[in-house]
Amino acid sequence: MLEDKVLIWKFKCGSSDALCSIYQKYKKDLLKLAAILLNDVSDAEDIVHDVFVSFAQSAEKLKLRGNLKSYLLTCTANRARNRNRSKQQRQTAGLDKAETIASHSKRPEELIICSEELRRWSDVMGQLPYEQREVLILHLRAGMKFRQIAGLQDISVNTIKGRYRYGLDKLRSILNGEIEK
Amino acid sequence: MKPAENIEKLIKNLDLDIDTNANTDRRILKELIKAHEKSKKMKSALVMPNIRRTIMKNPITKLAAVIAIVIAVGAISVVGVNIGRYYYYMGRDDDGAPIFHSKDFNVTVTLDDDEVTDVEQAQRYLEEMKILSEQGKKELLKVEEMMTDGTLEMKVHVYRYELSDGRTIDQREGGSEGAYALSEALWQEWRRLKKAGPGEDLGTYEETVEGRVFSFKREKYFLSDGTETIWSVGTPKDGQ
Repeated sequence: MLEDKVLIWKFKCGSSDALCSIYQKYKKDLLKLAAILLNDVSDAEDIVHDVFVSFAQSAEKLKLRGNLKSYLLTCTANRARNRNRSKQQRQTAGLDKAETIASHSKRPEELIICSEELRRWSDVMGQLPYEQREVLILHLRAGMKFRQIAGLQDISVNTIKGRYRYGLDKLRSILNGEIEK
Repeated sequence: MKPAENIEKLIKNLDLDIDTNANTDRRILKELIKAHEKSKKMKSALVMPNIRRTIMKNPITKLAAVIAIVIAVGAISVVGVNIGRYYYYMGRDDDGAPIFHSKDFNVTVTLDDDEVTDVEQAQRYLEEMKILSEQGKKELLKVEEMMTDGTLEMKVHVYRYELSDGRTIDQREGGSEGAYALSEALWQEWRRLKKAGPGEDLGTYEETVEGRVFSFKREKYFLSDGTETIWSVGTPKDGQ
């Protein structure tokens, strides 16, 4: 935490080194979150790129209330949600159908290196509605409280809890037989 | 069916490894630095921080602004000497204002404005103000004086500096010539009283300060321990 405060201070003072350190420190966490939320590593890379570019431009405006990691994860979740929405709209309009499947094969140059476990789980989570997936991932992987997620999405805590429960049930049925007790 | 707890535990403990390769990192970092540099240039040109005034205060006792001037600076002339590149940013105070400490930690400057976020720019302002002060290029706007039980507690001159970029900054400069009488608790009490409303009106008097006639309005306050404080604020009689 103290290290983050120093990094932010240096970043706000104009240090590019601090910005690079922040990127190196948190890029993996952001990528993991985006990849599993979007079920697409290529989109995840774009999201993380956008989050950091926006962050780089915001030095003088940045006023963090919580910690840096939570802030960046929240930015990632927000952008992932927007990306998902626009994708859904495009699919509804008949564009880029069947593109929701993880697109690792689209990038033969492998700009992103991810584990098979992530690919598998990305596919499994991709079978859940986005809203449920998001709550599950933010709660279980990003460590956010239901209240925080509700605030993030501007909806009630009960709705978030409901999505979590439904998501968990659905995941359980998907995984039924796959995992050992 | 697996218990929900198992699923939760499983997701929590997943080892999901993902990383960017070195080329991607280089490309992104290059973009980030470019975006950062661009925003810094835009900020310099368009979003100048709005510094209203600066005050000096003691970093250790954290006394309120004016009293702290007394402790830390000691004499008006010190301000001009100390302001400049020897200051560095130490974070923000309880009110959110950025704090600069001098190299030897004897003096603290607090930029009294929440909007000041560009610390480097603020430091440049301080350096320019130091030079202007040495050249005497500053306008005396106001003189504040406090007497406690008939002894001069502190005296502050408020100067206006016009910087090269057209911005004007009003800075409080001053201090006491000796020990101060009020404890921090009494100082805070006086501040509360002053904030609550004007003290007993003692009328006005005139005095020439730096070649100009100033009209001083005096108010009296009594603190809980019986200390009598007289607060005088002088403004130029010519209204300039």
